[in-house]
Amino acid sequence: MKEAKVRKGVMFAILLVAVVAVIGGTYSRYISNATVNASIDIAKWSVALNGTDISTAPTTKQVQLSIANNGFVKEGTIAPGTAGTFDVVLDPTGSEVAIDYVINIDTANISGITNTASNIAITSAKYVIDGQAEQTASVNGESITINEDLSNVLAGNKVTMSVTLEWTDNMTDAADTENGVAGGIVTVPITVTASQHI
Amino acid sequence: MNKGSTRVKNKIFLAIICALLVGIVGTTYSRYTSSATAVASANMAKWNIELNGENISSESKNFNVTAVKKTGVSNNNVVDGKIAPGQTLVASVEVDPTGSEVAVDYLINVGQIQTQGFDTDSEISLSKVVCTVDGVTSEAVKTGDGYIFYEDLTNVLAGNKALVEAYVEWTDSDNAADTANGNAALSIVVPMQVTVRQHLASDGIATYSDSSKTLMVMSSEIQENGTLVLNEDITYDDYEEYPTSSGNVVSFEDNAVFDLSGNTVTAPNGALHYTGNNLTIENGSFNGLISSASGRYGIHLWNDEGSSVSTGVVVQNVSTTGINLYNTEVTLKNVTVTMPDDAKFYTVYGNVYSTITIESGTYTAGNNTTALFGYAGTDSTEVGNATADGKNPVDGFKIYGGTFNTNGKPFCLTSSGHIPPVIYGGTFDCDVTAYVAEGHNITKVDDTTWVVE
Repeated sequence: MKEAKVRKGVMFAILLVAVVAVIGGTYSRYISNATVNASIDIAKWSVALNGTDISTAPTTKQVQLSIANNGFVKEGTIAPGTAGTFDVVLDPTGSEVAIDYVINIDTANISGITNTASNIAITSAKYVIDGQAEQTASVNGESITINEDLSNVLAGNKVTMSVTLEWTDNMTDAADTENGVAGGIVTVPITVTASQHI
Repeated sequence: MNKGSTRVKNKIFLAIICALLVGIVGTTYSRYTSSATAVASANMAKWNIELNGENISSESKNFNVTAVKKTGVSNNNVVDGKIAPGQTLVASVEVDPTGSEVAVDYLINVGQIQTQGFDTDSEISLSKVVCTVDGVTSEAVKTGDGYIFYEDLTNVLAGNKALVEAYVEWTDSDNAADTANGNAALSIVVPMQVTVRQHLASDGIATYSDSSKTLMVMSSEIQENGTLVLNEDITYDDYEEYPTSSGNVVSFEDNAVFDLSGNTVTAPNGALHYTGNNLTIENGSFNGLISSASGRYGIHLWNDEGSSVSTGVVVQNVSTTGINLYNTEVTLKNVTVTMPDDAKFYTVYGNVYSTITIESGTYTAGNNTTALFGYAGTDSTEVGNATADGKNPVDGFKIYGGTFNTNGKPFCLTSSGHIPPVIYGGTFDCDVTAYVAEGHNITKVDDTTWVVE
């Protein structure tokens, strides 16, 4: 019973399409044809990291820490009781879409420290979009997401994240001394991903 | 057929279709994406220290150093290479910071003499530590941790070695023990520890380079054991802002050093009051601008806090137009005090609860000076009498050496309320026989020269 109803419905639909097609084919009317070429510009994409264009290919950028000179440590070097900062500057100039930046400061993989008992750590991270208020970011290893809306992108406003690396004098003299004798370079890896905000 | 059942089935079917569509859309979406890696890096400041040619950067090492006589320090009444009561020998080590990239502190301590047979009632100890870097000699600051000497980053980076001289003195204090030790003729070992450590900003060294800060502000920023190094002359010549005797307090924490580094502080007489326990003021000049009463003291060591006293203050390698004390115990070493001719009063004056110990230097009166020295007791009616708290020294004014030029003015005030110094040594242009300490002699060299030894 049910199947018979379905069959009738399907047959009716096919018949209806066939009738419309036949009638349509024999109709006449005024007809004009034209072709419209719709021209649409593709929104541009351009992002620079500390002055280097990273739009087209993954890039590795070396950033030197700026060490606060306190007069007691050789300029440009870090030692117990001193701190250094570095800036990650993201420049959207040329882009025409809103952007999400995801920045990860890999605090678990700071390298170049001979004796890790020394207190060498990222102690603060702050970011600012040009013309806006400064924001504090987490330094516990979690990725930091920053959204730059279209108006800021079109204005070419940069996003600057300032990160502080600190060597705290915290009763770890033996480890600090070992690191001082060994010397070396402390490195902090940071990954930056800029994506179109959908 | 149940209509409700059919509607439910249709809804489920529609939902499945929608879910599939969303899934398809999601997996085919694309967006602009770029990625990069930044590697932030910093060089570690290096640490490399040698003591007497051996590297002690990573490990502690023992050194045997023989203390020897030193001209001008040791007396010649004891055979060379030996120590006896009253004798001072000098043990020297050379510290080489070449290769280090941080400022350093040298901390010098001595421990108890453990030599078998030595009677420890004899008092053999460090009397001072002198350090010479790049031809400049300074006395290490005595602190609760020991003697501390600071070598700045410039000298470290230049690889300038520090000659550390420890003055080991056998104080004449216990005749029986001293005699027993003399009879035993021991070869003693004085355990001395030299620790070289990175100097931290938090240790308190600050450099006066911000002209927006007054000396009062800068001194307040110096922490305990810290040093304020002056990089330029300071002149406060505005009498309205710095009126005479107003007492702008230049207050230091304990064991601080005010190193003028060859510069001059100029201020109206009495405008600045320096205070601080174990404060050392060194290596520069003070110029007191004349007050309406014609005072021109360059240094006012005044503790204005009730009856509290600044103890252990040292002024060394300084020249000034006059020194005035109030509630301060001071030792003057290699100080040149010259009272200008237009100034009245005294070359050095000690008010209540002050003590003065002069070890060396040159002290000169001017044409209008009342007397070379004035030293008041507790108050005008209790001259020389100790108070219940013992703060008023009966013999609180002592002269151990130096050159003293009265230029015809009185040597010291002896009027009511003032007491004279006790003289153990020095060269004087007047007869000071009345003030020479027991056991010491005065010799008249000529009509203008008397020598006390």
